[in-house]
Amino acid sequence: MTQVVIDPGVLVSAFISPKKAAPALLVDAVFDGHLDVLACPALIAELTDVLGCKKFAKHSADGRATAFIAAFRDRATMTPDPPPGSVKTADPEDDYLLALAEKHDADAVVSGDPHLLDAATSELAVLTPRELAYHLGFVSTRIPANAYEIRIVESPLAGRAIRPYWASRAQLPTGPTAIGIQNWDFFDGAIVGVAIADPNRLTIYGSGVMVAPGVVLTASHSVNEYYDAVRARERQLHCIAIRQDGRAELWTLRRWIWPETKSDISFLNVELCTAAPEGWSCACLPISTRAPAVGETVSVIGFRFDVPGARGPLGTIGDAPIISQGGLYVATGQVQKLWYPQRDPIRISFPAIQIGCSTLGGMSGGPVLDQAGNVIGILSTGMETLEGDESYAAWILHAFMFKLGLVWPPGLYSESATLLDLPDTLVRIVGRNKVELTSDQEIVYEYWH
Amino acid sequence: MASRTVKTVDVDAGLLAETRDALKPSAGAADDEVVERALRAYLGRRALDASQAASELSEEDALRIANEELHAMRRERRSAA
Repeated sequence: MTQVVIDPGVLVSAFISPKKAAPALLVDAVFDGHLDVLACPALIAELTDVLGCKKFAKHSADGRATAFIAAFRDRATMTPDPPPGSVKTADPEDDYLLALAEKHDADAVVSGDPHLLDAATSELAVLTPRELAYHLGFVSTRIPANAYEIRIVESPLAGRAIRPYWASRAQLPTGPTAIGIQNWDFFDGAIVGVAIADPNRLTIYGSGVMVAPGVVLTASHSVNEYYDAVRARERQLHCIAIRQDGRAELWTLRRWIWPETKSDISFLNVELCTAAPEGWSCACLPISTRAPAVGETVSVIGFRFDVPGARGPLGTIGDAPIISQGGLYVATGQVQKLWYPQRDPIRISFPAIQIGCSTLGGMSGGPVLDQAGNVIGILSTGMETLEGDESYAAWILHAFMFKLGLVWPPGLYSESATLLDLPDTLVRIVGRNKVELTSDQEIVYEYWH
Repeated sequence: MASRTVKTVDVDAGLLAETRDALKPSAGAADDEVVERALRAYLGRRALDASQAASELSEEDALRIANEELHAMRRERRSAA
């Protein structure tokens, strides 16, 4: 019988997820005696602590968590806490799970934690719950319900006119906690995942927003550690967009404009490298120079993707590999403050919008939209404070300072152009006349909201 | 430790043997331990079913939230230490 170590995070998710979810299927298999699971006191203690937190009170009430843990403990092969093992993760507190599996020669560790998934070796498999459920035959396919295929083609737009269209304002769910939205192609490709590729895999680290054909705004910090490697062509940067007709578009980097001034905004000049059907146009979102007012409601949108892990592709669609799985998330909140010229000299040393909502890693670089659907900021970071969750977005005003150096599409842009130099036919800027750039590259802004 | 009560119950020998077999690893366990484990398995499964029936989460969201809470608990534990 297959013997595994199950991360307490997976056990918690089994307890709070619907019955047909992969973690739940695995725990069913444990209870039915079809899957042998190793456990130790440290694992049971973590499971107990997490299920005891307030967030899960609805599920754990009436002694349910206690009964679940007791039954799981009975079913598990209990061993003492393991001594340190040879395999380490980026998070030392995950290491005991690998050590437990290593010591007892388990077949796999099951986890949804990227630190653990990345720690897989040739000796020790680390699988997601869905992967193990697939291997055990509990689910028939690993292809997600929303699967989009990417096929690379050379110069799909050669000789064709390239024009933007302005993606309509989405009817988004509201709430201060980031939640996944099912219709994550709603923006028709104007919001993109920003990914770094090496020869073995492609990992999506952040989000971005297309504001003109081939011009993506993103948060520098989400991919800046790869700047030198991308410049040296050791890695590639791509943007992935989902269109409403079910196609996935891949854009590849042509130029990365990273300002020398303090800012968390980068411009990515990207070229389409997937097929473009007849009548193709580039979905973009409009920008507004308006200063958001304290108390107004704004939406923060971005992708969050699973890291595929060390095992390579997650599966295949036909002969094409599944390179990642993820979703589009949205949070809404009230503007709490507009910081200018900076919030603080270390963490947020640029003009920033403080928003009362929580956001997730991976959403960084995604747009902050006002109620009219205009981009007013680029998500930079989230913080937990005593007063509640706060998110900070780089105010879009800073983006007007940069010379963009755009090289794609050829002939469409001047390399010395700034956003303000681009015509209305290529970028829509609400309140364009409120911003001027001086010859010294300083912004003159007529405050309006 | 939970308090224990002495009760005398009649259990079908075949049923007890089947239960012992179904609840592996329980070889060598005393009869009362087998009965207790069967009761815990029943209650655990019922608790799991009730909790899952109350779920409105997707698989992805449940996994993400569980991981976030696990790491939050560890942060709190570190702070307390």
